[in-house]
Amino acid sequence: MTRFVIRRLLLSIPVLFGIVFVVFTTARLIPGDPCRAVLGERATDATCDAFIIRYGLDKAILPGLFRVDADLVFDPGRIGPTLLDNQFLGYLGDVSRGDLGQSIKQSRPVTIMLVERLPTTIELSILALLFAVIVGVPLGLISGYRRNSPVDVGTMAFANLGVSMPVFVLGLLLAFIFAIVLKGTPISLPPSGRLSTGVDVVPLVEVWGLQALQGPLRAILDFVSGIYTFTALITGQWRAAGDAFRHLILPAITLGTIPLAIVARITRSSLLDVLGQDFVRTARAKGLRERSVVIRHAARNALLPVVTVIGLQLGALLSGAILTETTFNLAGVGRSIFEAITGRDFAVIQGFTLVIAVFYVVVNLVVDVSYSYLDPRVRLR
Amino acid sequence: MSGEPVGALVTGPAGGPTMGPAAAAEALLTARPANLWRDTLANILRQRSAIVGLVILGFLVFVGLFAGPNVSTTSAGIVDEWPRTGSPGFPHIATHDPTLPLLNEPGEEGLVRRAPPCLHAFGCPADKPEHIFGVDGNFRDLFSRVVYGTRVSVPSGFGAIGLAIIVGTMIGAAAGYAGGRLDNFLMRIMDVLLAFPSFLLAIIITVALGRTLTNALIAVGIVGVPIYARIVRASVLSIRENDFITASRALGESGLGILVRRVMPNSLTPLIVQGTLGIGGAVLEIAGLAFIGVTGDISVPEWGSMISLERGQLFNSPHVVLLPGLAITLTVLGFNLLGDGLRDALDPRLNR
Repeated sequence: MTRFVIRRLLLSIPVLFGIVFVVFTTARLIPGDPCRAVLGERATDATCDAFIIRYGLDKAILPGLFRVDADLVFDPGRIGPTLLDNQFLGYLGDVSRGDLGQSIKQSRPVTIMLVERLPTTIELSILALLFAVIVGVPLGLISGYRRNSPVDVGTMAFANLGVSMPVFVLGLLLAFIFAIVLKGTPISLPPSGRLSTGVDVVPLVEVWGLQALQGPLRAILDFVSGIYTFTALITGQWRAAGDAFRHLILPAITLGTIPLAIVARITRSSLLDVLGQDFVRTARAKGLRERSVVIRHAARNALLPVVTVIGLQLGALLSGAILTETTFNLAGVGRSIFEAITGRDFAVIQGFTLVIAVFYVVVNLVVDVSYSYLDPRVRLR
Repeated sequence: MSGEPVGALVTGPAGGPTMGPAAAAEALLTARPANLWRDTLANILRQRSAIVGLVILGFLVFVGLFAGPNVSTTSAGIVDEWPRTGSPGFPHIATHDPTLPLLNEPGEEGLVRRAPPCLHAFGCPADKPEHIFGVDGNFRDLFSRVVYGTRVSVPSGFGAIGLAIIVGTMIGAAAGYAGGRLDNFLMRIMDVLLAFPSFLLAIIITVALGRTLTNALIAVGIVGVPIYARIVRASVLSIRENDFITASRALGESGLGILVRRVMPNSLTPLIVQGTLGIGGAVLEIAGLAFIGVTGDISVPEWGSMISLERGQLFNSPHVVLLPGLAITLTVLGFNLLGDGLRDALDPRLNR
């Protein structure tokens, strides 16, 4: 087990390196001059030169590859001198020291932006996935057990519709129904933002009187404080907790619908598979009650592939998060990356995507490990 | 995926009810000879979801073909063959020129911006101009724009997945057939592409190539490559161990010949199934890219950019946002249903 985890982590290093390389180079292929993207079209040449030097953008991107104003220039003659002195190697060095660089647009460290933006996305994703599992697994089990019943047909039709509807269309549709059609009723829900005006979640450092705290511990506390529902709940800010939760319902349903449909389908087909196996017949032959056969014997085995799918969906959620955050005006990771891409904010693109890629690798590893835990027949090698 | 030779595709529900040996011999004598294509088609048509999917897609193709005369915005300007007066000669489903703002046009008196749908047959006052889906924020007929959108979205989905399949097949076949270092190298590159939220990568590539719809299509295609490369590689690996490959080799066929004539036809099934499902996904991704605004020209009647342009109007005029959304949903649903049906029909092991 330990050996497996170590081996997998070592194997993921080249993949992560590849991702950093791909993102680094693609981001720099984005046409246009980063200086004028940040300072505006009317920035003078002198200002721009200073800007370029300040952020090290005058150095070679890769050995021999330069950006001159808005164009990329490859100069084979200068490969030698820039072999070790280039932006890519510099960036790798910074990353290995835990420094993700500075946002050229906001003149702030990328790590601080991550502390601000990541909690929104994590909170949204967890809630979306919870919604998908809590609703999807029972629906899938019922559909599988009562195959071809109205519940089954309805669930599968809904699942087909769920995976076919664009995230943003579903989001806008829900916003229309719950914020406009149902306006004024008790079940109307807010269509944008994280909190109502006038409602605030007091951060942990203030609640616990630790304002003087600095360094990594402070960053961690600020990070947790960004997960509004959690912070508000553990510190007893009930009104804020309720408000934050109400704001999350529509985005979470929007983001969770595709995973929900997939989880329901996999659960259903997996249960059908298991119900046809010998041990289920044996359980029935022993005279076990039907409920016990289905829940204790069949369902437990049927849920194995569901775990894999949930893990895969956790990774795929991020694609949906970009669109969900855009639709509901949430300042999360997805939106930040999108803004950075359109604004040529290289350090932000790289830093955020690197964190996501690491997250991907870890999730895949956790899924594989949990698989061997749930099914002892699977040996990790 | 499928490791059997082509003939195995159709062994699914064949067999039928059990019968005595004599009756079986009789049936064998009088039965029509097996025909690969006919049996496969019959298998597909037995799937309810495949039929529904085919009907939806047939409808969309019909709408796209007969939308109306050629109207498109290119880098060179607007190519617009829709006449300013009278009916276009070409058979047309769209009721208006999708690119023409109708404000102050003859017959459009009393037109308001983002007017809701108005059909005289359904009780809309006769003095108001008739618009099936209403009017968008630029006084253009929304129904015509949604109809013309079929011409943009369906082909772009095909284009993106076509690109992904061609490149993916070449990479997967090379990796699987050559093996060794080349295999390792190519597959690690595919791993890098897969270890990444595909939509995010598609945004970066689109912006890097330049913000146009064509580049969005290319980006979605590139992002899709690893899936097809993996499928083809897996089939190639399992098929090349078969005896009929050894036989071809013994007969002196070249490596490339074996790959193209013997191995590839047998790895088509998973490609077709995944490709059909993939087109639905590609349509979604392209619409998503258009929605966040990286596809440039917003005068092109593309469903995603239509929604993007009007999303602020959801509260006052929901029809301008939700109707194009329904068009995307219908298209993707068609491809997904057909893909599900194909999978059940072509891969008997998954039958349930």
